[in-house]
Amino acid sequence: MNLWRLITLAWRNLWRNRRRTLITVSTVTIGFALAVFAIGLGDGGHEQMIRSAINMGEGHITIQPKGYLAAPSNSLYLAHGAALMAHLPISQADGKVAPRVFLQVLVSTAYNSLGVGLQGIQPENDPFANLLQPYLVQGEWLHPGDAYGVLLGDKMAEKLHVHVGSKLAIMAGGADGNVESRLGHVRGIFRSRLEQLDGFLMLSTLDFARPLLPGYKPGQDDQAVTRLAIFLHNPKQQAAIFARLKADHLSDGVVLDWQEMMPQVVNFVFVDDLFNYIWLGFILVMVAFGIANTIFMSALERTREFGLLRALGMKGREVLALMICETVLLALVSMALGWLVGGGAHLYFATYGLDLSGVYPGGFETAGMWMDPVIYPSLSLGRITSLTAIVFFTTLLSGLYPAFKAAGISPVAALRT
Amino acid sequence: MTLVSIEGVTKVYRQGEVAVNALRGVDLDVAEGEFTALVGPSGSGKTTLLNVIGALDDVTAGRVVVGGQDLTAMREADRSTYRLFNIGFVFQAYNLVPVLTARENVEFVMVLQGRATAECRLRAMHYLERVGLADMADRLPKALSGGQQQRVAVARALAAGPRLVLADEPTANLDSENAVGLLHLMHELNHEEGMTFLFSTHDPRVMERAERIVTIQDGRISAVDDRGETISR
Repeated sequence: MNLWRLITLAWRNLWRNRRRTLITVSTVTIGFALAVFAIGLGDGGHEQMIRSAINMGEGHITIQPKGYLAAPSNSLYLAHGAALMAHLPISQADGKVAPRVFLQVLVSTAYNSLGVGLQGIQPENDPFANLLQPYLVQGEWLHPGDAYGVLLGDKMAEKLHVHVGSKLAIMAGGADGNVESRLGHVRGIFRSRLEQLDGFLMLSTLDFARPLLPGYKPGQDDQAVTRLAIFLHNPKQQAAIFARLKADHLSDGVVLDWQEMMPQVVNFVFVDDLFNYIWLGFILVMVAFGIANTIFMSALERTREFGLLRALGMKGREVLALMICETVLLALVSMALGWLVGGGAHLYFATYGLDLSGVYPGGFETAGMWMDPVIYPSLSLGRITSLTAIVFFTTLLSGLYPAFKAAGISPVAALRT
Repeated sequence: MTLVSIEGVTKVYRQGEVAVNALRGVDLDVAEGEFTALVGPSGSGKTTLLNVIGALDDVTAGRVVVGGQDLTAMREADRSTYRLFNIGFVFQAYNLVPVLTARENVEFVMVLQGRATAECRLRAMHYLERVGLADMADRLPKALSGGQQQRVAVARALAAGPRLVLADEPTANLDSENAVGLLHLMHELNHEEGMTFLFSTHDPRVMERAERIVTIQDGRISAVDDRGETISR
């Protein structure tokens, strides 16, 4: 029997029990649409989270002193950071390199003392500054060359009882026990709603932070940085640029990608993906039972007809092909509708975003990372292909047992039913 | 010329612990072009004998040769091919594929045989016309009466060009007018096409039309009536 005849016959058989087929198609469609949307939302959320973590953290790729990741210390820094930055094999087309000086410091006022993280940046050029600037709620942003100004979060300001214009003492200790100190002026206060930023981060210019490096020698350490954060224009180039930087054999620094810098993000995405797969597993079970039930019932009801077909000369393998064809058609119709519904919802929210600001005004924190309240679902071609293939083969497998049963039917026994 | 040759065929079914002897040493020859009725009470073995000749069922002992092919030595896949090219079946009921139109039902076996679409269509329409249902070619079986459905089944059996048409109680579910009409049609086609017909029946009106009547009782052939000469066994 040619393929077109087989498809025609299978298609008509499928719609013999219109109600049952419609229920099955609806079940699979809804399940598949939910899977498409939920996985798209999960992937989109992960992408946003990673983007946010990279932008608020240390970029796609970081260059920092050897040993810093394992044992962070104020004494570890790249003395010729600015010179190193100038010689990196990275063009402006690749991305932006942000020099930073990060120190664990003790901040004191007459009222209180706090251990905080001081980040010296180029306020006019650092992507993190661009990200945080809109959340400035009091005072003004740092100006390049500001030798005394600092910015801090509202939580920290509250604990230290400071306001714009207040002065505070900042001290940094080194491994050798030396302590460097400076006086800072509060230029502005930000409120990001992220506990780790608002309560523990202080920003200054590089020029303000450098003298706090333990053992800082004016004239000699004026180019020192603790880190070079590299922000790429195209994240897909990360692996290539990372390899290029690695090959450069830096003498006193190491090249790390964001996955090494922020393993907690990688772990969070892994665990969250795991839950997504469990959810997909439930949907697959639902799909499998729906299809198996329909095909099995359909095969049972048609036992005598299979006997007739076999008696007329149809071979067992042709009956098998017919049943598999019915399963495939059922799966294709359900999946096409599932893509239409789930893919439609996905496209809409991928364009306009799923706005959760009613529940989380100003964003929310997940695993220590800031999330925008508007989430844009995202599905890669790989995800689309794998989702379709997984559901398709699940439906195919679930239809195999009834198909083999029908194909193995003895014509004379079937005709007696 | 002998088309069907059956020698000492025995068929034993097992129903749980009980062995049922459906056929007990049956010997029968059917010549090409014959119009033969198998008669006998229910459970006498008529359907089993037709199933054995149609390669739907195997035998416990004995030998069945149809058109020179020994069915007892055939594998299942070869039996399907044998049925496809040699046998036309007409069953008592539920003869047609419900989702196919009358024409598609008639074409079905020819499609399985791998004939060209145009040939299938031409032959299907010819035989539908022959059974008087050309104007109902596009109707689904549910839109046809029982008698019309059986006529479509006869058209399907003949259109595929089999050597032997096996009909198991083809008139059992029909009223007398339709039963006589169907038998008349089968007889006519037997004469015109020279095709061999072997059918089982209880119906005395059907028996009247048969050229040869084989009586089966308790799995044995008890008499063969060659319309003029009855040989008791």
